[in-house]
Amino acid sequence: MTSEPVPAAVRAPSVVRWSAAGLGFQLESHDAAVHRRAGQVFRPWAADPACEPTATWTVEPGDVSSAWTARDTGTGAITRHDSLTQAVTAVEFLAVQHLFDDHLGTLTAHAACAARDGRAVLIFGPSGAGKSTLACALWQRGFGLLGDDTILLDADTRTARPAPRRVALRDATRALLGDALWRRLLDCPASEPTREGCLFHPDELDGVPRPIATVAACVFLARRGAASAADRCVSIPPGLATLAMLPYFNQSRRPDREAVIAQLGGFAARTPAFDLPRGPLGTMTDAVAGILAAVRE
Amino acid sequence: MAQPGHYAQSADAAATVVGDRIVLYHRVTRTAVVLNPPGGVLWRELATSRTVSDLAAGLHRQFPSVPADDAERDVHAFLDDLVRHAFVSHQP
Repeated sequence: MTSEPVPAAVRAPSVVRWSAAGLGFQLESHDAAVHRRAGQVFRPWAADPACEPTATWTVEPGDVSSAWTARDTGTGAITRHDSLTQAVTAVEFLAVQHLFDDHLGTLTAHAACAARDGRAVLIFGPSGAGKSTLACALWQRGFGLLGDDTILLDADTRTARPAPRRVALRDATRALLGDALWRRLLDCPASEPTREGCLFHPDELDGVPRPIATVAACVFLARRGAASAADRCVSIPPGLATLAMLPYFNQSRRPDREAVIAQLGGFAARTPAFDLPRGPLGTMTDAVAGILAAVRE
Repeated sequence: MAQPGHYAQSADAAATVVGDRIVLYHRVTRTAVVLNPPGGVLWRELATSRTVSDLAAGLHRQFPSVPADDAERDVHAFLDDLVRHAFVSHQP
């Protein structure tokens, strides 16, 4: 008796699932290489069986005009990519965007976050202000790295959680890490060189899962209205800190944003905030470590 | 044809670099598009408010082999598409 190969079209696709903030995501493909790559990229993020899939993407080889396509099965939107690695990276980005839905029950912040001994510092700042570099410098000093771009916050318990996305470092950070570490980082299974730097999972280097931590302090980089001549950390009153952090959160444009302001106001009242002036990275990481020591409860 | 006035990235658009392209996602419509490298140049220019002429000049600077007339035509096509999908906002 002989068995014939089952055509791809009728074979069940393999599925990689992951979850965050009560949302479930899945990536399907008939291609084993996609499954392997997605397994590496989404490995740290457990799938909660209680979460129905919020979004599903299929990643398959494309037609002659594109090497790979990623299709959102809910909206039908298709993006085309030069490689399967890039298609999976696009899905990683698109999934995280669901966490910025302004009707999501969770507060999602555009922020970096690093933690030590269960106590986290949340780092806010505009794009290019150096959030990723500072968070990475703290990681180099033994902090756990929750993320450089997207953080999930429970404002009531002040708990910060990582979002399911690799950390993105720019080439400028290479000098901070040194060439040897940069090369080791690029050799990790989930790492991916990008035009601007690289993506990676910190735990593939330090062996430490991304922590969940209580936010002990917030720091702002390049905050509009901050005293530009300041050469030391300056405390920000809770009301001002609330308004300063609001634009970085997913719910800032809700019609009922008074409720969000009240929620963040409660968080800011219990979480000291500081302007951190730009300076040598060592000085900035010293300042963050000093803040965490000073605000110890 | 794109209208006179100023154009800028929509506040509802999120972007990331993937390879040498930029993936855009619209948080309200949940639409995603991928920009090629010239589109990526224009997208970066649109971080601040720009006119069609500004954008065409920027494109010509980055891709000098593209004649100025072609650059302006490409900018019009780019803006038409991205305004229609609400990734770019227009201020007359």
